[in-house]
Amino acid sequence: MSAPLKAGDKFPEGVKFEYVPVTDPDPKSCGMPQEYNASQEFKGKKVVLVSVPGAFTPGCQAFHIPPYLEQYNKLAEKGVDLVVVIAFNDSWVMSAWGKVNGTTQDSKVLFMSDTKTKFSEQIGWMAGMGERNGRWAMIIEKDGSITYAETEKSPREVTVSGAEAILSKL
Amino acid sequence: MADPLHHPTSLSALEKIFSNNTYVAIDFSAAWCGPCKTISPIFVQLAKKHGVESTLAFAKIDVDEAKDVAQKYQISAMPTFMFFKEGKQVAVNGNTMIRGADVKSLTAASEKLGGLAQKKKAGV
Repeated sequence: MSAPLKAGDKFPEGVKFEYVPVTDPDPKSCGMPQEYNASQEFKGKKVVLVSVPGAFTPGCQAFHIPPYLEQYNKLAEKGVDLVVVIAFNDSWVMSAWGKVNGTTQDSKVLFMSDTKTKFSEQIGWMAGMGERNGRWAMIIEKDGSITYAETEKSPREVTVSGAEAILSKL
Repeated sequence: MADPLHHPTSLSALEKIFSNNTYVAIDFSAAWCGPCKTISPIFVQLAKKHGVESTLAFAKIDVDEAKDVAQKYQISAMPTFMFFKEGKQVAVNGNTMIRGADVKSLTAASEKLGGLAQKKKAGV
C-alpha cells in the first residue's frame, strides 16, 4: 500500500475509476459502466478530486457534495476544469447519485466509482468503516502535480475536504 | 420463420459475419434495458425487409454476453446501432452510430443500407 499523497507529489499513473456516463435523461437509452482512466484524463486539466465514504450517506449528501455543485462556477473561475467525486459504491449508484444531484451530460462534476483500482485504499485514506473510502480532497494541476491533498481526521467531518477549503487553496 | 438476425457472442463470431457480408448493421443491446426491448421488434422487421444474403446482415449483440465486442466498440449507451462495410465502421446518412432507441434514424439507415445492398447484389 502506497503512502498518502501530499502537495508536491505527482498524481500517479494507472489510476482508473468506473462510471456510467449520464446519457440523456430521456428514456431512449440506458448507460453502461465505462472505465475512466483518471491518470490519462486528468492530464492537461485542473481537477478537484473528492472522495467520500458513501453515496447518499447523510454527511456526504447534506454537507459535502452540494457545496461543490452550488459553487462550481466559483471553482471554474479559479481555473478548475473538472470535479470528480468518488466513493466505494458501484458505478450505478454513483450515477444515480449524480442524477439526483442534478448532473447532466455536460456536467463538469462527475460521479464515479473507485472500485476499479481502489485508489483511496492505495493511498491509505480509508474511512475506517469497512471498505468505505475516506473523506478527502485533492487539487491536481494540469501537469499532474498535486497542490493540495488533505483528508479529514474523522470521516464524519467536512473541513479540509470541503468546497470552501478547496476554494481557498485555488 | 427463420431468425433474420445474427447473434454473435464474441469478436470472432462477429468477424465471421463481417467476412461473409458486405454490409452489417448491429444493434448493441442489453437484456435489462427497457428502450432496447422497445426497439427490438422494429430492428427485426427492418432485418426481414432489408436483409440481403451475403450482402446485408443484421446482428444483435448482447453487451453482457459479448463483453469483448462491447469493449472494442466502446459501447456506452444502449441501444447503440452501428453500421459496417467490409468490417469497417461507416457512417450512414451522416451518422457513424445511432445512440438510443431512435426509430426514425434507424429505419432511414436500414433503408439506405438496403438500397446499397440491392445495388451491390445487382452488380451495379
